[in-house]
Amino acid sequence: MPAILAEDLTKVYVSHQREPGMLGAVKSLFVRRNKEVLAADRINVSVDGGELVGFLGPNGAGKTTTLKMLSGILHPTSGRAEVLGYRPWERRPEFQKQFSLVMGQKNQLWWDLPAEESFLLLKELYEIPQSDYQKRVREMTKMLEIDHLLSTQVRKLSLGERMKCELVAALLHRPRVVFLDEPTIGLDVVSQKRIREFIALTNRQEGATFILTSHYMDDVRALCERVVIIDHGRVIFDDALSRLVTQFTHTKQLRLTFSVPVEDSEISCFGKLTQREALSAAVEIPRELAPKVAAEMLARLPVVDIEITDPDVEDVIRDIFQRKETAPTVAQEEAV
Amino acid sequence: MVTQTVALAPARPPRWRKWWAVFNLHLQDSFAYRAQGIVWILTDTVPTITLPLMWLAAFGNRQVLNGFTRTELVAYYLCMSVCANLAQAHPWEIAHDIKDGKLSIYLTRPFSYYWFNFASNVSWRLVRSLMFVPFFGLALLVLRSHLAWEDFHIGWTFWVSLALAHVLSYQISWCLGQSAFFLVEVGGLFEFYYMIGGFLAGQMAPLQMLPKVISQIAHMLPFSYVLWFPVNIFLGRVPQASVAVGLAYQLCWIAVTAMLGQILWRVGLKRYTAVGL
Repeated sequence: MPAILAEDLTKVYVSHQREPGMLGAVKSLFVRRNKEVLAADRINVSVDGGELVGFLGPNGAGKTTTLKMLSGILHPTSGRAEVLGYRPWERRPEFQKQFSLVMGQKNQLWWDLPAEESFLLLKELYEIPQSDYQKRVREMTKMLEIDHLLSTQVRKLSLGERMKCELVAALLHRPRVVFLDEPTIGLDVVSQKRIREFIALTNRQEGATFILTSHYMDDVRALCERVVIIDHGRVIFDDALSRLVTQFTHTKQLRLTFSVPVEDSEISCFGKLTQREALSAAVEIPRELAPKVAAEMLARLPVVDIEITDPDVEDVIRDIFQRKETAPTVAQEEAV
Repeated sequence: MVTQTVALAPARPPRWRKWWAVFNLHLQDSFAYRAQGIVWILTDTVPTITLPLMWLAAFGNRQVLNGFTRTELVAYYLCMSVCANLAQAHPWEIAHDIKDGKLSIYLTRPFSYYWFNFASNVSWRLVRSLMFVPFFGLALLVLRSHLAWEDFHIGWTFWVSLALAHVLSYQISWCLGQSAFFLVEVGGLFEFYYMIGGFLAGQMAPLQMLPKVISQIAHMLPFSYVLWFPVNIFLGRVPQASVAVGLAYQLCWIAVTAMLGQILWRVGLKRYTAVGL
């Protein structure tokens, strides 16, 4: 049985629309126009115990909505979900004691008290034995290098320090499923890295299942073997990160270095010129033609060095999102 | 000889530990807000002193005004301020949690938000009452020439009515606070509640001094059972037979507001989880 299962999970938000201006305000008193927004559109995902899966997508794509449904905060409009065998929105304590949700943009700790006070409360709420609690706090705070900050008021901590405390709070009760919604947002590179290492270690050592959303490709690259890309409420990709590039791009880059200057026209007959300097150039060519074109270039041009590369994952993802904003494209049809 | 070790499932910690932890955290949180609390208490202390002074001026040469002696009237307002500190709950925190979406976090925790907030209210009442002591002393000092111990009642009926008032006031706040599920802006509603609710609870003037119709209406509504009723028990102005009726009214209103609170929670939460505020 998978740890997390979503079947046709759908969420429709209804928002009231109002025309601008005074007239619109008066009108809205009598006639309300409702607009339906499809935030999650038949999401199908299955995550096995111990997996660490990245949810990617532009803002408003439906990532947070999906996580909220899986944590029982939102009731789906239709569809089914099971987390550890429970229906999340029934909010059963047995279930709640086994999962955790961290929202990078929301503070779960008591703002005016030292973080340790929040930990102590959670210890009781989640019925964590004293010895286990002490050991756990010691280990986690040491790993995150915040062991000296436990008696500082949360509001006096830096964003990075606070986020680390949030993580400790969320993992105190050894949840079997953890949802991390942008845990590294706004943090400096050092904190991001530390948090990444911490998540990876927790996932490995405890076998907890993680779903992570992030805007930082570094997070995803470092942590997630598998990524699920959500856009306009739909899953448009669900596979290994390494397969993302091959599935969404049909081109390769050829980077060339020449021994003597070469005319533009001599290069552009091979493919689309994307970069040009006196003694170097980059050409985009269809993936399947890459070996042939490269061989031909080597034969016909004064090439001293040639490199065939895939486009960067980050560029690919940005490309997918940009394309999606204009019209449904090949990518979607492929996924369907 | 082989010693057998029996693997025992770890015993579940007693419930009171959770309660104590929740209560303790809120107690500390309340202390963190002491500076703000003192400002709030100051605003409450001003009417505790000025309203009796105003009435005392109205007495002129009379010994009794609307059935109140000077001593009784001063005692009325002093007792009112003590009861307000101990019993009167506020709907703001609940409304904020809903509006800011902080409720989402509480919804994922294995502890009821209702009781979590209840504990928060109790601890804040305690801290506030403690901070009120010096201000109460100040009020006593200003009004000292009109202080006398008359036939006041601080027996069990007073304390029971005060405890029920506390629960009732919390229930009212719980219902009011949940209006944030349905309204974009709750400030106006709360202001209205403070004005009307305070007036009908006898915070401005004893209900006996109001026109008969208004005081009759006030006796039907729950607000007078939050403050006016315990204060009048203290003053010895509630006949023995009426005490039981008053306590019954309190219980009834607790039941009604509890039901209303349940309905609001169910409908409101459905809305909250549908819209994901």
